[in-house]
Amino acid sequence: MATTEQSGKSGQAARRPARAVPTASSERFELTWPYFMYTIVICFLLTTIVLWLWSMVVPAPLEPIADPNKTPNPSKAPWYFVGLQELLVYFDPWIAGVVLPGLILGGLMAIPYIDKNTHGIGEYNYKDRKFAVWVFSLGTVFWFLLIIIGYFFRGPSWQWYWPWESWEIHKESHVVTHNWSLLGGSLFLIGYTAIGLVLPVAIPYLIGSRVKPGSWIKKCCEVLQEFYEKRGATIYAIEMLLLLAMLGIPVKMVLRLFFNVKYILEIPAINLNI
Amino acid sequence: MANLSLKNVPQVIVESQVWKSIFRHGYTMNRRNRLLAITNNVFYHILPTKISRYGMRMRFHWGAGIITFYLFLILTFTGVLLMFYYVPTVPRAYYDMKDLQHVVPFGNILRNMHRYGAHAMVFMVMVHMARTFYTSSYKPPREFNWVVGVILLNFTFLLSFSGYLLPWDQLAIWAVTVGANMARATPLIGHEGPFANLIGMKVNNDVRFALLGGTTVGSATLLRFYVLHCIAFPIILTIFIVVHFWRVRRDGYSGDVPVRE
Repeated sequence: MATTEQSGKSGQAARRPARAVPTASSERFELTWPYFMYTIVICFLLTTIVLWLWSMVVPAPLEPIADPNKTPNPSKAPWYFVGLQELLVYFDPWIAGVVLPGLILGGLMAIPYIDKNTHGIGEYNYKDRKFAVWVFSLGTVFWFLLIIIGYFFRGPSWQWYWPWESWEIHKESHVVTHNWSLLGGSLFLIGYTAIGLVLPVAIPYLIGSRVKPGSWIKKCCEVLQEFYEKRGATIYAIEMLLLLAMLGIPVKMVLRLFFNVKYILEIPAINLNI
Repeated sequence: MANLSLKNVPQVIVESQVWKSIFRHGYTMNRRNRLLAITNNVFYHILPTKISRYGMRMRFHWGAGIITFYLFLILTFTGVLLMFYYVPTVPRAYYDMKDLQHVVPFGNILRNMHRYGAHAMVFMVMVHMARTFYTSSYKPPREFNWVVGVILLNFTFLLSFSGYLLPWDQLAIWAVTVGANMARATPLIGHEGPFANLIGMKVNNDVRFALLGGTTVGSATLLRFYVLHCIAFPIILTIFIVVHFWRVRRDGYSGDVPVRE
């Protein structure tokens, strides 16, 4: 009995290495009442004032009554979904509206379980977690960039309109898009995934031993090797697949915008277009 | 009670049996009473009695979670008031909005606060999430609370999106049409999605049909979204908020974790 209690306690202690227990004498701690209450009350008051003023000054939009026979051009989703709507230019709805949001939510939930780095809890620490901060910041900036493009720069027929351009002038897309062949598309997708998964592991093993120590190539190899070894095969694979899915979005955008590729892979029999 | 003067009234009140039955601890501001002010109050006792000076600073926590929760309270309050005036039927919904704008006393500001508050809440959830990420607050032992947070983000989206239809204007119906059209492309269970033809999905039996209560956004959709918006989603969100707050206390506030000293 005593031993189980002991091991349970030590297990918990190992899990929370730096958990602080407030003590009455501790200098680091301050009473919640009234000091934290000030913060709460100030947050509440400022929110109330800002929201009240905003509501007083700017009337909320109310357009003419809903008419199922009159489709406005463009019809835009609420701002927080406009980024996903913008993705409809590059992807079919099942990817832009279902798979990618699912991956975003699933990927966000997975973060604590794939990020094994224990540094930086309770502090703004960039030095010890550069990779995590970069990936998260890139994703966040990209998410808001898509929202800004969709909200401010898209006009009738979802064409690009600068804010100073009139929506009265009708633009049409004359771009002729094409699809890749089944073989080419499959090879590209498999190649993209395989290279993305394997290359960061393969590089240090293949050329790591051949370059002289101290060179920048050697340093890159060491970083990549450490990246893989810290994670182990399973977590590495999950993390890279999520990362490749995120990076796949700008890849497809470039293919669509600069190479007029509509679908990389097209299987009409089961509606599967990527 | 002999020398009852105006000066003594506050003291007489504070020392009366009625006052003491409501506020168990004395009002004097000594350390013990300040601790009791938190632990003896049902609303405050979700807070710890002490918080580290470091974690208490606005530049650590940005007030994002506090503001998000407060916006939820404002939205609940204004939303209940709006329910007195709004009827979710196609002939009435839009004209109830007009009445709120022009007839109901303070109706316009009530509606504006509800709408802008909803936008602000969606934004503040994202801000809170960013803060939590940058301070590594999702790391063990707080992994599960981050997951609960993502669920809360999801339900904030759903609440905001379901409320978007209710004004029943052009903006509402077409924004929801755009959103719901994504649902018909869901793999397997949306009739235009991949593999859907293999299990016989059609326009009138897929997931979009279930969501809208028809093949287009209509009166059934309005009622569905109203019930989801006013009853189902707020209850689910409240349950997860309770879990979220509880876990902050159980797992410890990340701002209290000692940073290299």
